[in-house]
Amino acid sequence: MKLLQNELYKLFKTKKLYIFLLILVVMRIMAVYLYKAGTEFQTVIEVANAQSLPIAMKYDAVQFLVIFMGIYIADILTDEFKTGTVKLTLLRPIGRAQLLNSKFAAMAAFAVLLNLFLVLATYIVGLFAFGWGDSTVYHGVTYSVGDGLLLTAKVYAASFLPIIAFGMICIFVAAASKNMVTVVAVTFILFIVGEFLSALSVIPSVIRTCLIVNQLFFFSDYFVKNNHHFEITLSVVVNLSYITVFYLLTLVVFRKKDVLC
Amino acid sequence: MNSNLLLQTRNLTKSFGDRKIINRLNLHVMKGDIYGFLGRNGQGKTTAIRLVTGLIFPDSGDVIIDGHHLRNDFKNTISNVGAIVESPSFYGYLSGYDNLKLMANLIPGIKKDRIDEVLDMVRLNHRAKDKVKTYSLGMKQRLGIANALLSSPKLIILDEPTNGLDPQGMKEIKEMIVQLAAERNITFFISSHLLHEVEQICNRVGIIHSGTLLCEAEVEELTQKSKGKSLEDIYFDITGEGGDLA
Repeated sequence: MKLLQNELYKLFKTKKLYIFLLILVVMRIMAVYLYKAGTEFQTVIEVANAQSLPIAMKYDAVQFLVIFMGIYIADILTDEFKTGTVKLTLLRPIGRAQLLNSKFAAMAAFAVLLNLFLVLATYIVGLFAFGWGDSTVYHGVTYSVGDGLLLTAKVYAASFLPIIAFGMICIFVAAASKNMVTVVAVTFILFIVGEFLSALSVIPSVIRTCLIVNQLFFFSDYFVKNNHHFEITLSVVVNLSYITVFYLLTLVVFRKKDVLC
Repeated sequence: MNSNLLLQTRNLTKSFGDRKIINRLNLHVMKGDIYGFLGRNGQGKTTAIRLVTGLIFPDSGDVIIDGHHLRNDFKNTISNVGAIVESPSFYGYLSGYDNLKLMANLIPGIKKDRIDEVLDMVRLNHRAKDKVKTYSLGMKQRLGIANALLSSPKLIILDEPTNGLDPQGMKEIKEMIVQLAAERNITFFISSHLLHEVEQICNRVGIIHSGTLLCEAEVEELTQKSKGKSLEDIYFDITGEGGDLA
């Protein structure tokens, strides 16, 4: 817990976090601006009201979230090993597994923070641009205000699981890498290759479903309708497997990693 | 086991690839020592310190600090140690005080005013609230010593503590070490390639060459045995080398 406190303290003291948040806000403003400028076909906005905006735009920021996660994880792991600040912690009575757990918890907290901020910022931008509106519309279905808010909360909450699974893969890459650029590049390449593979129809759909990129984009969608029990179960197993396997692999690397800075 | 022994390594060995960096190292640091760990650059001093502090893992051998074995009792072993390894690394975007606050957070039962106390010991209070990235190397070294002192350790390990400092900075660090050893009863293990510096402040030395400990003795005993030769001459006699140590 103390280690996590330290990680969060450092997170809020770095400029990077505020730059990330600013980028997310600017993205939202740009999307709304495009819509208002008469180029709505370039946006994913279905209905111009604030309450429909976060759910309509939930996939819009995935690429950015993935890059931000890569940068943040590289910062708290690879860079700490490179610059030597990890020695500050490792020269205290702290086990390496404890340190890894704190990094994992910090990554999860970072993902939650970015997502919460994104929802809130989207509501606010939508409010200024279009007003609140009478109902939430998603995929052509109209929901009451209460149901719309609940659906948005459900979809964003569900999206945490694949984001954390992806973050765990990034942690493994970060623990095995020697510099930040490698981590961010590998993270991005993984994402691009995943997107490419998930579009290949020659690959059986059950395998494509298991790809982390597919999980990032579609897992939360299964919660919009009520008849996706198999997909939800499969996806939960897939995401938990990613987390477990990459956690154990990272632990092995982390426990043997020499601090040579 | 000698009850006065604070740090002991037993046949500590470490290789990187085919290259053996540390070869069956047997160090003995007594309570109250200011122990100078001497050797040219690249002879294995920093690697030995990394092994002693658990930052890297030995191929074989053991490290024992105050009766605790590093290999199977890391937390209790490292609780007795404060260290600066290679160079003092801190979060540059945080103040010196905030850096220490983060570290104090990891020390169970630490007193609230301990941070101010250690900053006072290293005479850094006046710049404690400034960001570390604005500190000079000497100030970072002092902050490193403050960090090492936080947990009131029995043993402080300093890797080339005066490296890169100007003469005034070197003098201040040396005075601080002697003062802390005398007043706070702290044992110091200091690696250095500066023979004159070691001769000035250390009571015992170990000389490492190509990863092997060639000699370990009291400075006084060494100089007496060699009929008043300086530590520099003794070093070159032992290692069979001549010229500049750096």
